[in-house]
Amino acid sequence: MNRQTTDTALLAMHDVEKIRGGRTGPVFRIASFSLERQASMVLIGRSGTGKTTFLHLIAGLLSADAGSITVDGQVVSEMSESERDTFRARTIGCIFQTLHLLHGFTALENVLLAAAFAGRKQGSQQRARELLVRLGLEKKLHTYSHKLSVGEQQRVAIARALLNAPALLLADEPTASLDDENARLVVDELRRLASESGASLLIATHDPIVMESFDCVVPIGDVVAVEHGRAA
Amino acid sequence: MNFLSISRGFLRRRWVTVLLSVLSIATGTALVTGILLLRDESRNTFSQKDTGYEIIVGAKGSPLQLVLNTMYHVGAPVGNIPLDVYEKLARDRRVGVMLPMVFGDNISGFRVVGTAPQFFSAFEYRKGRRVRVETGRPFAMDYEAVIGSDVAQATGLKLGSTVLMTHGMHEGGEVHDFERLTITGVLVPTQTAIDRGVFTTLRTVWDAHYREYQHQQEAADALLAEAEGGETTDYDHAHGDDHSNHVKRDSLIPPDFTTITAIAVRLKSPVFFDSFMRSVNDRTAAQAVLPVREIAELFVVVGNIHGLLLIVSYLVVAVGAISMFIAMYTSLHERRREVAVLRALGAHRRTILGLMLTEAVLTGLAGAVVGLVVARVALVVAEPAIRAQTGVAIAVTGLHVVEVFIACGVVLLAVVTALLPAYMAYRVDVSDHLASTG
Repeated sequence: MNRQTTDTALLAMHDVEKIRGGRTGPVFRIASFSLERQASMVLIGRSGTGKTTFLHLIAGLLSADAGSITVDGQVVSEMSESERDTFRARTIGCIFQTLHLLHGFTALENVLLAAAFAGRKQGSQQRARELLVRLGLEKKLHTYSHKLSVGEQQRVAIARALLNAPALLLADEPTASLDDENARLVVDELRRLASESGASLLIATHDPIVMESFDCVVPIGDVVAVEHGRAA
Repeated sequence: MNFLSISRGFLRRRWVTVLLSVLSIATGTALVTGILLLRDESRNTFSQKDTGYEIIVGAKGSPLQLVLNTMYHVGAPVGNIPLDVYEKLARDRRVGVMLPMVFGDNISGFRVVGTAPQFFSAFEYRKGRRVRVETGRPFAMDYEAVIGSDVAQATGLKLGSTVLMTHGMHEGGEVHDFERLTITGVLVPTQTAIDRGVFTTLRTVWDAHYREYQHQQEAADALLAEAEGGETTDYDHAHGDDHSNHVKRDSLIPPDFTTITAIAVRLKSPVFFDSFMRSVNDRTAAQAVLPVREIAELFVVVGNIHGLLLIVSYLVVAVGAISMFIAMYTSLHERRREVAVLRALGAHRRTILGLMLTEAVLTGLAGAVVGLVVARVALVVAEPAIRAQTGVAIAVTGLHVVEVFIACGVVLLAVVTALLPAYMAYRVDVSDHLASTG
């Protein structure tokens, strides 16, 4: 099956529907959404308004029950789970709300994990080091992740998301664990590195610091419609 | 980062529980390995098909005791047989080689064996292998002796050394303090009980016992005289002995000092086996036994004990595997988050399965290797004591095929144990386990 499309946007979603939590769970509907290449957008909204579900659908961590999702010319919504895994590893970088570094691994190893599943081992060691150095972690390369400060951990997470030079960078509440000073630093680094690597950046947040830093801020309610309380 | 390095990272994260699992598995592995190696080596030692002891003739009684005592110096002799049995068999034309042996004394716990010159010239302790002297020469006259290699090592006796014999099979008996044995040679190691023996002439043992008997008689006479006349003899003063154990002359049973404890026999042809056995068993005061048959029967009994020990050891391995299962299962909550992160980074479900099973393989392998090493070290440390006590020589060089099977079995068990936790990790819902508030 040819899953390539002629969409010029990096990300395009049409008539997407996702039911969560079984037949009685909420239904998330995205009528239409697009994000241009090398663009940045911030989605804002309270908890439970579908931000994370929206990002997980784009990343292929959730499969859509209806509609189409296209990323970088590939129809993600038609891919098998295994194909979505490979596609995600190579095309999408993810940064999570609660950092999600793996303990038992050093900062450098945490970053290199991203290359392990993308099949791009050549040069990944060098790039991982460069990214960590650029993020001010040159002295923490071989420090175990649980010994890093929260701000340092988030910078490692950014480096990991950028290692495979993804076309799309998804960040779910990237500043939730940080104080204001670290939050500003992280947002600045995120925007700068995404811009330098040519990646589009989509951030879901309710942090005013993040909102202030970007021009394109969209309420999640304008994108995702959530229907609660369906009958069984 | 590859499969191994990622698995290693996860193991490092839980090193305490992993270490406990490894130690638990290693304990079971060491027990199984030790028992199996000991079983195999004891079988090799005791059931040598090429043993030179084709038939053993000895006093009537337990055939197994006769075999163990004669061939392995284990336990007490069944009894003695008259010398005329030996002389009768010596005239038997079916007999090829005969070796008479008489036991009754020891040196530092090592058995003194009175025997004949054919011990060196005709007797084969294994087919084609004769007893040879490594240093010195064979005994040539009474109160000369050659010693086995273990005896030389353990006692420090060497050529020209003289030593007193002690009555009985163990240390602590009455010392025959009237004449010393002179060591004339040290034997080449044979990996048999010969290494633990002191070999001298028949007459030496007979003479020692006869003189000991005379000595006891004199002591008893002296005590009787003292009881009757109230006087002590010069004898007691000279020896300074306490003869309170020999107060009654009637309690002394004079040994027949020209008896034989056992005769190792090799026939001229196997066709004579049945008729020879019958003629000895039916027409003499002795019995003839086939060591190979007796040992085979012994191993039926010993095999059951080994079986029980093995079951216990397998249970210990199983406990190790269960502890690994518990460790993996209880860590699943934490693992779900890790699995979700890996999946978010692009790891397939089957990759997660593979990583979990790789961890199990590494844990099982570490347990197996540690267990094998511990078993080896324990056997090396215990080998001299085991050999001295039982004559079982444990060859601990090279990798035994049993050990390879055990290692493979343990790793396989670890993998089987990890299947359920691995499957649960495989089924993890990524989206649910990446913290979400949106």
